[in-house]
Amino acid sequence: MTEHLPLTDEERAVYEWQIWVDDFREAGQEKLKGASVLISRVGGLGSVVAYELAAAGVGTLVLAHAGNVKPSDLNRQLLMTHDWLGKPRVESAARRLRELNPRLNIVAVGENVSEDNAASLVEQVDLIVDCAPLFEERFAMNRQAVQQRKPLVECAMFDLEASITTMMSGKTPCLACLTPEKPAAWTREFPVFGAVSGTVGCIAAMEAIKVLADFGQPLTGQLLAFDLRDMTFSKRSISRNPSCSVCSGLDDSCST
Amino acid sequence: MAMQLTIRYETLLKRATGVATQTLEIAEPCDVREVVKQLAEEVGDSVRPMLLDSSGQLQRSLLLFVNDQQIVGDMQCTVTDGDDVTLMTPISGG
Ligand SMILES: [Zn+2]
Repeated sequence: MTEHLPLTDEERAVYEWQIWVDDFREAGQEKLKGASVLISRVGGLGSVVAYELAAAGVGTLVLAHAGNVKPSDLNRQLLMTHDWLGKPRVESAARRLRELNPRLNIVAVGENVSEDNAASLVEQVDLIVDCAPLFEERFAMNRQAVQQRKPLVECAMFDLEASITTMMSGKTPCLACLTPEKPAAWTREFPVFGAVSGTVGCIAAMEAIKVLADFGQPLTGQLLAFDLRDMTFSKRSISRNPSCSVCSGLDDSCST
Repeated sequence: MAMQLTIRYETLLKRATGVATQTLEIAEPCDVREVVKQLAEEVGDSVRPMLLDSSGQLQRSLLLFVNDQQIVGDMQCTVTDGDDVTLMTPISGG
C-alpha cells in the first residue's frame, strides 16, 4: 500500500531499537517513512497518536483540529502546553511534533473534519486515525474512508473506559455498521483522564504502524474494550450489517 | 429450573446503572432482544431510554454482544443458561 523510501544513516540510528523487531525490520521502517496518516483532532487521543507516530518515523502526518488551547484541554491533550493557552491547537501540536522529529512532514489544518473537507483530507493519506469527539465528524470521516477504501482506526474513550477497532473498507464493519446512529445520551463534554486517552492513543498508534508496515494482527473485525478502573480487557467480534447505509454492497474482493 | 444470564453494562450504561454486572433469570431460552426489554423494566426511568426507543424497540445505537459476538441488524440470537450479554453505549473521543 505504502511506498518504500530508503533510510538515511540518521534515520537508521534514530529507529534502531524498533528496526530490531523481527517482523518489522528496515523494510518496515521504509514503509513508515513513505506513509501518510490523517489524525482527526489532536486532542486527548490524537495528541498521543500523533506523538507516537512521529516518534516511530511515519513520513507525513495530516492534523485536523480547530480552535485554541483552553485550560480544560491540558489534563489530556499532551501536545498542548500552558504557555500556548489561547493560541491555535493545531500549531501547538505541529510545534511539539517538530521538536521531537524535525524530519516529519506535517500538514496542519486548523479545521475539524466535516462533510465539506472529509473527501480532500482522506485523499491525501494512506490511513486515518479517528480521534474526534462528535459522532457527526466520525460519520463524515467513515463515509470517505469507506468510499476511498482507506483503513480507519476508530478509537474512543469515556471515564476510565475506552474502545478501539481497525476498519478496512469492504472487509470489516464500518462505523455505521457498529453505530448506525448517534447515541442520544452522548454529550460533547464528558469525564475522562488523560491516562485513559493516552492508553488507547498508544494502542491506536500501534494499530496504524502494523497496518502501514503490514505485520502483526490488527484489530480488524474486533472491538477491544477495556476499563482501567478494574483492568478488564475484552476483545469482541463485530459484524458487518448487511443493510448498512454506508458499506452494504461493497465487495471485499475488490478492496485493496 | 430458571436459567441465569450474566449481564454486563459498559460505558454510559455502566455509569448510569452504577453496576458493572448483574445476573438475570429467564424462564426459557429467548431472543436476546427480549432480554433487553426485560432489563428495561427493571432499570430506572433515566436508564430505560438508553436501552429502548419511544416505541419500545431496542435503541439503534445500542451495542449488543452475546458471549463476545456482536448481534447486529436483524440477526437472531437465542440466549440460554450461562450466556453472557454485554450492553454498551457507543462512545467517541476528543
Ligand atoms: Zn457499514
